[in-house]
Amino acid sequence: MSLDPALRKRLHELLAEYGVKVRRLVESHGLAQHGIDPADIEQEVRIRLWKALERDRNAAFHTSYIQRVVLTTVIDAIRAAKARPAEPLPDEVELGDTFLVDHGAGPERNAGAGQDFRRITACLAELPQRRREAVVLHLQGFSFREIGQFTGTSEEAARKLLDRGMTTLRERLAAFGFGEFHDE
Amino acid sequence: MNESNKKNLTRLYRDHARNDAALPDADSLVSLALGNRSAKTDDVIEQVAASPLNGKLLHLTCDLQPLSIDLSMDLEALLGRSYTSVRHRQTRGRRALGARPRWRVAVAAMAASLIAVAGLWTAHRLNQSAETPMAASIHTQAIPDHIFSGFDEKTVAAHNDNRGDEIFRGRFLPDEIFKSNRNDG
Repeated sequence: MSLDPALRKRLHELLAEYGVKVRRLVESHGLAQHGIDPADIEQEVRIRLWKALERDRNAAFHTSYIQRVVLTTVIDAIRAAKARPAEPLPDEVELGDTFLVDHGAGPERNAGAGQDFRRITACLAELPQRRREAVVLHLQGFSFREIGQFTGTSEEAARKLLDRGMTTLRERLAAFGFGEFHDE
Repeated sequence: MNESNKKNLTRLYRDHARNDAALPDADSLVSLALGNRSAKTDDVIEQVAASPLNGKLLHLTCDLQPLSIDLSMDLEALLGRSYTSVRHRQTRGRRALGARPRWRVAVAAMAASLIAVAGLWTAHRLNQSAETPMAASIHTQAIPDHIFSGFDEKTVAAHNDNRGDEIFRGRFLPDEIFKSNRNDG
């Protein structure tokens, strides 16, 4: 691609800025613990976007296209990490994201947590599909607005689906003798 | 049960859900984040449900959107291209984030119109009822009622000519049929 040097420099700067933001996002979502290096992702995203610019300068760089480039890079890296021979993973316990699988807690306590999880999944499986979707998305940390957007309903409808789903889940878990729980 | 003793369902779920579920593809993740539902995005929801890693990927997709919009716009400006379609899609994407379903907007608009009409009608009625007693008395004094103004009871009483009711004073013409002078012969 024959580009004016000033334009070329500015494009590099833009992609570098974007790459840094992507790296921060990858780090903040805890994806590094799945065997990928955020710095590698940053570099790879910059390279892929630059190559796309070189291939077709007149191509439209839609938002969704740019998102796909990043996600493909991340997913490829995760697949590659999974395919690698087992390496010692970084500690699961991170600041601000304390895991319930507490290695210092002893096998009895962790076994109890595992049993609780199996009960939860069994109860979730009994929920109607839309309520189950709302509940699992909520458990994965998505907001009412996001749940509504993903499931094709309004924020208010998502809230109602979640309320009903959680009520049913509580009742079913209580029947298992699960006891009280909070979901925040 | 003490609040601190309650089990944290969210943490329990995220910590024990397995991360070996199939990874979703990038296209489906982007479609789901944009709110374009299809059979493929339904599968992604199931994949997200099955694995916290997939949940993180969906979070990443959502958070990437504003950054990618900015980069797309900057590239457009820098390369001097007219990205009409880009702009259109991006506006749609932004709108989709906080969008309400169309039927809700329509119902809200209809409800607002009904309320406005009811309000206007009520205001009009109140205006009328506030004006009526006073206005009626003013009108009675200022402009006599035309129907009854031509009939002055006092004059009628003074002018008693014992004519009686005009109906029974009628000078009825005899029936012409039976007074016919026609010569039938």
